[in-house]
Amino acid sequence: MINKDQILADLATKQFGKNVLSFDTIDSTNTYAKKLNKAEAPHGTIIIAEQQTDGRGRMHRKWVSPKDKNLLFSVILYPEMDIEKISLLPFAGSLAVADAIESVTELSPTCKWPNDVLINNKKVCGMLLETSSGNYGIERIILGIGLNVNQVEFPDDLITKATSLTVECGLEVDRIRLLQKILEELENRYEQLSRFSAGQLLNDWRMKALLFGKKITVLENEFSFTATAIDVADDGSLIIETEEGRKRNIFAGDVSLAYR
Amino acid sequence: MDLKYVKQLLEMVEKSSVNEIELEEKGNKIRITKSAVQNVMAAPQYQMAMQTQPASAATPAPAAAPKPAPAAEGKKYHEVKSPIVGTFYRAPSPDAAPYVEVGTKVKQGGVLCIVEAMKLMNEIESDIDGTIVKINVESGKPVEYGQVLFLVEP
Repeated sequence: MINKDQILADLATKQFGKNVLSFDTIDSTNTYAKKLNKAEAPHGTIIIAEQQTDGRGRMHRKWVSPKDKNLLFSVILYPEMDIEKISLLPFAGSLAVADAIESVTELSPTCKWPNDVLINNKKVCGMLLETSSGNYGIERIILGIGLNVNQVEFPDDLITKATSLTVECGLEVDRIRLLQKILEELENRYEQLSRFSAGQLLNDWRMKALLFGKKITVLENEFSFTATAIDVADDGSLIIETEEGRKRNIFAGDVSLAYR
Repeated sequence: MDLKYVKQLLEMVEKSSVNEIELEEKGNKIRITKSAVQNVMAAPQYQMAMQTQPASAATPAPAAAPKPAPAAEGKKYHEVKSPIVGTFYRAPSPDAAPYVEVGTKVKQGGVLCIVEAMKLMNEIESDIDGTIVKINVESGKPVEYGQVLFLVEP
């Protein structure tokens, strides 16, 4: 089981990952994170597990991962930045994971709007960002990351859509080193976003973006249509052009390549 | 509510240019309205209504669609607004029950809905105790920054 000492050895961050709560089995690292207060889990705390019994993605879709093979963790953030920048944290997350994969393996991941990481057009990492706000604004963000690292077998319904690092590069990947690298990249991206204009982060993200100029299928509120992905706007929304030639921005929904 | 306190309020309104005030404290509501007809010689007339919190429907409205509540638009209801641009969801997943219905009693900090933007799922909490009197947006629809999502009767 990945433990705190392994993570802390050689971890080159200031805050991210310095406080580690590690579990063999947990319902969901995000669900657990939600129950902790700021004193128990300050900014940068991570909750990591080898197995989740109720792992989930957007809209409570199941996230299934075999035990001891992958990285399943949540990072707790108390972002001191305005709401426009907070909305861009998904981009900081996917860029950090993509950069970390690139530095630990020989692979070239791409980012799919807004926060999936893909290799050879297959999903290798998904994220679920959760927060809550009253009229006083947002205090805490929980960034849940599920990254397929050394998983070899996939269920039939996922085999064409999902992959892992080991499947793609043919080698077993050091999960500790990869996690450390993700935390380092994430802290850097977080600081970039908090100190500089949002445009800088989005420009870096664009370099790894997969969809631009391509035909995509947009699933929005159970309604599906084909469009062309144009760009990401400064507020993080995806600019698309519909088949009727109308441009519009998408803030939520699932997008995928129309032809693979 | 202390009678002395009410008397002080009456005097305060009398001396001020304010025509009407409404206060709420520990479930007791008081509204003081200056009479429209001002008598120069006599002290102003007051209409005073003091009541305890009205008991609202104990069972949530059964219909899934938000029911129009034309009488609910007045200022006395508390507005819960969207803090971000995004998509509004009344339930945590498509097959789950909505967080609240019209008539649901909510506590401060209770989750009312989710607004999603760029896969950041933002649970919008009620910032007061009260009863949901109106749900302004259909689930799955886009919302703007600052758009009123719910009206809550304190």
